[in-house]
Amino acid sequence: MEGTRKITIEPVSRIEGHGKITINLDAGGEVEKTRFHVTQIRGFERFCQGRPFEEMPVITQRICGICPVSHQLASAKACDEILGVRIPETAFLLRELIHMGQFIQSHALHFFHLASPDLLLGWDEDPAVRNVIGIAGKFPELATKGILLRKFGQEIIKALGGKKIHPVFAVPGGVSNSLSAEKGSEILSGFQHAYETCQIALDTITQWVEMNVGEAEAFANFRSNYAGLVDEKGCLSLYDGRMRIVDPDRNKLAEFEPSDYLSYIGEHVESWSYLKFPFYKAAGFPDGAYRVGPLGRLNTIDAIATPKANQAFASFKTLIDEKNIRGASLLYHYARMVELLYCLEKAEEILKNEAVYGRDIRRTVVPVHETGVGVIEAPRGTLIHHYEVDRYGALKKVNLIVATGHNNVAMNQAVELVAKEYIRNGDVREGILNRIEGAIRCYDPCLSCSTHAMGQMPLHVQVFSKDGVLIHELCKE
Amino acid sequence: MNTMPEKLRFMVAPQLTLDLVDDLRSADAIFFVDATISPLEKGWRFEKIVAESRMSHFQTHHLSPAFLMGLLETLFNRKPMSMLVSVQGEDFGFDEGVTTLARKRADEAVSQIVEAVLRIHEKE
Repeated sequence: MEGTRKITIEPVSRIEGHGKITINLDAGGEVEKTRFHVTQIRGFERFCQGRPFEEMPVITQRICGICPVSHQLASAKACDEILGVRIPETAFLLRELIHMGQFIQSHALHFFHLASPDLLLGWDEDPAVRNVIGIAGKFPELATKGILLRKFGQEIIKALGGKKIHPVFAVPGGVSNSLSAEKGSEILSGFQHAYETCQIALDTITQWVEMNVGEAEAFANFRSNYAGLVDEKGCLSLYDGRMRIVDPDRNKLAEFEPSDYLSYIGEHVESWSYLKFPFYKAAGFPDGAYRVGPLGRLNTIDAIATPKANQAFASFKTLIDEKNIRGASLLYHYARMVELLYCLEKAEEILKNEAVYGRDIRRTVVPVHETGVGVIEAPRGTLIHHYEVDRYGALKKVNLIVATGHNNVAMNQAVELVAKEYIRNGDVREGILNRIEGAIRCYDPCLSCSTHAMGQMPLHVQVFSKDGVLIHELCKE
Repeated sequence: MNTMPEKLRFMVAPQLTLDLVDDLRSADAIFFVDATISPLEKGWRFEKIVAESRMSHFQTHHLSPAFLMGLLETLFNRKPMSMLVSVQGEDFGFDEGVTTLARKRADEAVSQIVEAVLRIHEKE
């Protein structure tokens, strides 16, 4: 149509993986339609078929270089179910410990290096400066502390799995290595600095939110359902627990064993993205869409089991309820730092538990089940690995629902809300485009992790003439 | 016979990550060594790294040596000599080990690195 414009932001920067955003403006320059497209495909669900299930913890961790531990753990849990074993206490603690290392490094990376340029330098700063080097130049102490905190998390992973990225650790029935008391004590010596840095981050984001309540309110603030794992007391649980889904007012919609997820969660497909759209079946699509990850979890749980993080959680909850910004996407950054504090406390608690230094770390048995579902909370949200095997243990079916997928509806909604809020009369400045990217960034999506299905994937091809007119369109559902 | 300096350190990294700047901050010289699919005249190549001080896009999966050197300079005011050593690979298919040709190129590149390290060591 005459006068209409299409704006494309590609790549979306400071996220994990590759995606693009398209914004259609009408003849009056107002936002008509926006979309967040995930343009990668990985295909693990398909090419793992036929592999022995025991290989999955090693294969699936290669899905991602940022959260390999999350995939390895969810995979190992699914394999435990196929084996029909309860892993030894030491193995449970060690898996939980490496998981905390994963959260610490991932949350620190996101806050200090991906999110902080927007928060500390400003949305409208020169994009050549608005990045980690800009932060390093203006806030060198903060940047250094952030790097060291991330390194601390990576060192926990390395101490257990031998290397920082793609460690070899969780195996069906347990873990492959025990932890020496000497190594444990070495890790424990790093907690003081880690807590200090975490506190700086918490103070920074709390002050930012308090000073920018108006922006938090206007920036992709919307009502949605939320989901996450909780323990038997309704507390935050990152490695194990029941899956809970709540409505926008935090009323419980469902709570179930993760292995029953198919009774509660469906997956919707759209023609313009490789990323699927999970939803709560009872509410249908799109009403049943929910948010996961730090904000999703903190809106789902009743409390946090460690003292300092629970105090931070109480302050977080009071602030967002008082200001009525419970659904504000920018609060993901705040929630992420509350979780970081929890992970530090939890990791320290585990390292002070003598049982973590035990030598009984694995059960080896003959598989007894043909299905296994492993669910954990990854840094970005709930991660589901579901395997079906034949009587020889070869995989017949693999279903992976990855954290970023659960947030697909929310990310698209966030993009649209921010675009509509800030684009007026066709005025699209760079700072506005950065705000739109920033809406995605709140969710810390890992796009490389989240696109797996093959064979039946929808495809949407548009062919434009050189003067921008759409001349041919192909759509495969 | 020349001996390698005691403080010489080898690191293996599947990715270049931000936290490596902490490991590199005390280095006098850094050699980043990686395989390449590009055809090279000698089968290997040394390139001086120019630190990046400005960048528009940051992807945590894709940190370059130039980015790390820029961060090192910005954070710690350190500008160690840094080189990117590329070794041309032959076969990137599923397999273990390297081909004879790639091994020969890697050996030659390593000899060049050793010479460079010894030269730097002698100057100290």
